[in-house]
Amino acid sequence: MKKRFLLMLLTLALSTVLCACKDGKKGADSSDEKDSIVVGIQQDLDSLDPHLATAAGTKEVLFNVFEGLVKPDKNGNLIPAVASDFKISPDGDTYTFTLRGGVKFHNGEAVTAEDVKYSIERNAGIDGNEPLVSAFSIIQSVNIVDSSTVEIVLSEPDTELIGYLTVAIIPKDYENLATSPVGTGPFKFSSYTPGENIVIEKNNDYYGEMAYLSKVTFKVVTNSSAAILELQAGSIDIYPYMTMDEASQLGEDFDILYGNTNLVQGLFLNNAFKYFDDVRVRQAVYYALDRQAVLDMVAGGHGTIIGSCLYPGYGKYYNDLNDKYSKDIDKAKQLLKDAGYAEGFDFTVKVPSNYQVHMDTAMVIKEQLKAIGVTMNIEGIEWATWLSDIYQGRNYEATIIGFDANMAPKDMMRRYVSDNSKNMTNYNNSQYDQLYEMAIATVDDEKKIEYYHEMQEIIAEDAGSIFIADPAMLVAVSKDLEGYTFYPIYVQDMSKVRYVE
Amino acid sequence: MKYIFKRIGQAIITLFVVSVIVFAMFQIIPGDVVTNKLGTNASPERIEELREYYGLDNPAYIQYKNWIDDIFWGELGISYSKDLPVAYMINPNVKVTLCLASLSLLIIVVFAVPIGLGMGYIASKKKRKDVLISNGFDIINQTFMAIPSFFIGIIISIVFGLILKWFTPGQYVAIEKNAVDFFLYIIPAAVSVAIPKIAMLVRFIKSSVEEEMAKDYVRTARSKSASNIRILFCHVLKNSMITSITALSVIMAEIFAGSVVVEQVFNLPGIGKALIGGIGERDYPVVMAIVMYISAMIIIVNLLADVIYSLVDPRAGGNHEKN
Repeated sequence: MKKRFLLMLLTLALSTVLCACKDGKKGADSSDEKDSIVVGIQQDLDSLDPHLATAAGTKEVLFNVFEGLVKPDKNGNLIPAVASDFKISPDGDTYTFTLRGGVKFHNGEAVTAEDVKYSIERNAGIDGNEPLVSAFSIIQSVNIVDSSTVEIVLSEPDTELIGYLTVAIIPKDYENLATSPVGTGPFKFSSYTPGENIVIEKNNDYYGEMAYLSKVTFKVVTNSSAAILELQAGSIDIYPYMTMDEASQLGEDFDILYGNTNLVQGLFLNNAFKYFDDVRVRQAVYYALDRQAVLDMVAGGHGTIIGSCLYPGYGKYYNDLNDKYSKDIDKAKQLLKDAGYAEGFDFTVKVPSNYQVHMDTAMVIKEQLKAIGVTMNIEGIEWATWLSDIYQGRNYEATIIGFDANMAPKDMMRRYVSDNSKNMTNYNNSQYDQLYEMAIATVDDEKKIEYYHEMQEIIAEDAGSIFIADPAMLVAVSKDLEGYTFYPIYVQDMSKVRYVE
Repeated sequence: MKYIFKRIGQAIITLFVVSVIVFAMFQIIPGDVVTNKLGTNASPERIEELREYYGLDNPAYIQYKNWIDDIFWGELGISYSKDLPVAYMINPNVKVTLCLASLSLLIIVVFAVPIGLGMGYIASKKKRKDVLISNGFDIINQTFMAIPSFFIGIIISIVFGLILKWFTPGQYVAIEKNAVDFFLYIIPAAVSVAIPKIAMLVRFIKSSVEEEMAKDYVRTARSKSASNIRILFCHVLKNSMITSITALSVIMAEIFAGSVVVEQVFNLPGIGKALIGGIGERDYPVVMAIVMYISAMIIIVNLLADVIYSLVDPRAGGNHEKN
């Protein structure tokens, strides 16, 4: 009896081992396919409908499937996509698009002017709902001029609206967007398993440059240590959200690429809070900081320091104000003294704890502020809490976050207009507000640049918030792959990725 | 029969209380599903519109009533963050966790019962050498009991996944695609959940066997010159199983809890992943459905344990009938 039992146990153990071996071999086989890859993503998609999806983590994936009339290229320019050409009328209130001939949806149907009209109107809320894209609320009508020309008429001039016309063009009255989305991009949707993965396949009818890979799987890996294990085991080929720590754990099978996240990361101060309502206190905090030291500690020196409310990716609109506040402890102390807080003060910074980079930044800043007698308490909070209490409720003293924005600079600039619903910091400067009105009203790009530069100057002078950096984005890419491309917005473009020959 | 009805009644009340507590918690914790869904591009008008659309502008008791209605219409409500029926969303996850939990249970029983019996038997012999072995074993056993499952999971992933390459972390295959590969992938996860629980069950069985071996009926059997093996398997086993069943029903609840954590380590799309995602997104229909589900499972397991208990030990059943 005893023997028989032992034998049974042994058999069980042995079969487990053997089976496991077989599994291991299988894993190796599947990664040998030279035309498909797996990309790790940190969160599940919130919707497959490109118009209803709001999470940055969803948009970065859907970028491969959908295209707008125009789309961004890697240098931050808008290039024609579904439209082959566009004209903005001299007074800035009529946009005329010429559609590219021969563009087909993934279901084989040709893109018509009707589809374009439908897609724009759906976002503009012309059907009676609230606009999905709030910038589209100024769209008065979308007119079909002829079968290949569409005209968008605005109720007021806005030359920056083009930056929003990257919204996806979808087939008119197509009802299955949420389950089997159809777009015009270099990849077409293949399958989606909630919480697990989304698979896209090469679109062989693409009008532009063909994708190299025939299949890309975006796999949801919410836990970063699991992601590292899977990278090491070869189950993931690309993972775009590494910290310095994690990057150093990866072996030689991976390249770590450094790019910009295209965020304005800052210590955002609630200008209505007791201490920060005084411009001198805000300036003192700015003078106390050594931003390069922050980058050195948090990301090994990678990333770009900023001193403006825009990030460098905005090109001509960006005003480099990095030298405005260099670390100067004496000056900071003097400013605090003038404001009546010579002894310093305490405040609490609330940081979304799911963003390691912001948490790390908070630690460094806390140490730096000690030099001027200011005690900063760090409180980690959940992202959902951040959105409701801080972003919408404005119930906070200070927070560290990175703001993303559309390619139109006004998307970022309006965050500091005193009566704007997105003015989370309660920043209030009538001169800034006035310039904003002028900047969005003008159709002269030279003027616009001038106004935006001046606005950045004003908010920096006021130290409206403490702009720190455009943080580095660390992407782990398998050594077998090449062509990973960084964009001035948050997207994962897989159409250029290919296996090294 | 009366007993069963009484227990089912109790179960329904328990589920109701749990649902009220979970719902109340969602009213208290900061953050809501609409601001989370719209993110940093939310406009106040859109927030208002969506709140109304999901009925979140209603008072809490009406929201709760709506949720109960949805439960009885069979779809378990609609997920706010994904606009999908909750049942459709979490069914695959439930399958994964059920498989993981059952496999863990199987591993636990297969290993714990023989080890427990054997060690209990050795401990009962009371010879100097046996006592030493028994005490040494207790120390090791205690250690395994104290290691958390997720830590074992990480160790297993590194040793068997990365170094020995017995399995590839991340090569999860859905059960519909290939059931064999699916089970092979969840074996390491199941082992991680099982190890501390094996140690726990071994301790229960060992001490109960040790206790039983000292009882009079064993001495009687021995005086009738029954072999040790016969005594162990024919007499002691059945009696010590009664304690084990109680222990197992407690362990079952812990297997679920352990699975939820270990799923994160092995990146398994089980209910743990759905639960954590749901909480993060403040998607209360999803969270409520999962909490209800786990509660129901635990209640059912306890019910089953009681029924089996009464089968194995007629005394227990008799008592219950009288109640």
